[in-house]
Amino acid sequence: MKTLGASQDFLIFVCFTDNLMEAQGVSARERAPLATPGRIDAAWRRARLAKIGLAGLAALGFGAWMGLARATYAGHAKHDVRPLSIPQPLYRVVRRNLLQAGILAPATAPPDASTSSS
Amino acid sequence: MSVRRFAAMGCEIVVSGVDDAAYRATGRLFAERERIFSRFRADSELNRVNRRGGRSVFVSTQFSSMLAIALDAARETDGLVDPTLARALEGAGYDADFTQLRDDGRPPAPGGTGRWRDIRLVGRHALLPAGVQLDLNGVVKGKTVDDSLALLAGDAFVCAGGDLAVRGGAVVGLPGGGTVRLVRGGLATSGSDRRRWMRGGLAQHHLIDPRTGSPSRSCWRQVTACGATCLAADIAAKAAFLLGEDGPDWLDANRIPGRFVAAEGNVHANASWRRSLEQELLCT
Repeated sequence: MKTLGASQDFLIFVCFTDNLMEAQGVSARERAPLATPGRIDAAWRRARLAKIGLAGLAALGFGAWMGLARATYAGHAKHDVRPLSIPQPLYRVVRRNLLQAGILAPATAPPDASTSSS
Repeated sequence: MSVRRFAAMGCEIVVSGVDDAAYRATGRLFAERERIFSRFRADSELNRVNRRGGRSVFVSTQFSSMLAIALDAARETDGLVDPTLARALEGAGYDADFTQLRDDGRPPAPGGTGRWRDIRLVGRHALLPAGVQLDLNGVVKGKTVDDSLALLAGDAFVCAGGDLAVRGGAVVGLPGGGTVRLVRGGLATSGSDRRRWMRGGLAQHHLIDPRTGSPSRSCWRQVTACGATCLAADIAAKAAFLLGEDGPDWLDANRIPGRFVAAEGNVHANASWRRSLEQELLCT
């Protein structure tokens, strides 16, 4: 399907407006010349500026929203993400499970066994 | 209390309070662990894993659990009891069964430092970095003593070359003289007085310092520690030996009783050792 250019769209719009005004009984003298090239160019400039302005505002708004979300929303990290690791208190408890002491008492009889370097 | 003896893992195993079935089961357990974890048997699983450095290898359940224990021990001792020192041991000359070691005149070669952090173990898949070889002797004997005791019913003890686990209490002779009653848990001694050999005219021993890759120059000759299990005692004794002067305080920080025999023969007990004996005296 062939697509129309932007200027063609505008001309169609102007023709449509002329027909509408004629249908409403507005005379040709009362009508302002709508389709002069200078006005079209100015309109394009305004539209372009408006687009740029809107895009800039949207980007600024998005950035501000994201920054606020990071700073305030509970599900967002408030600082740099670090790899998960075992909390140190738990780690110390687990460590003590292997390095636990036995129970000694003074000897009251001759030895049953002996410990020596192995 | 009836006592029976047999040889395994290069030392004498003493088992008390056993019937024939339990005695045979204990012997089978030691033989099986030796078959899996010996550095001097070409067909051991340990050597199969060591030959596959740099590649993932599927290991037996026993091997994976023992390796996991060895890595835990390394973690808990900040790498002092390191399972990756096989090359360092070989460099020092311990490259054959201890009874067959001869001084062949070659100088000792410094081995690599400990690299336990580079080992990956996921389930039963183990991955050793290329050039790293395992020696799990630091945990195998203590764990086997504990597992053997679990096979026995009633009051009993198992002693493997001086590493001891007890149920129901036993009186134990100590290095440097003296005795103590082990009420519960295990008692183990690490020292440089046994398993010594010559290499290039220099005296070597089997307690490798993972920070240097060479036999430790600890100020202690023997360190005895009392743990909740023989494995715990063995790990604590090795770490305390390797820490040298810091050993007594390190054991105290972990509330483990420790007894140290210095090179010149002086005996020093840490605060936990003294306290545990005093408390017991107060109770009785």
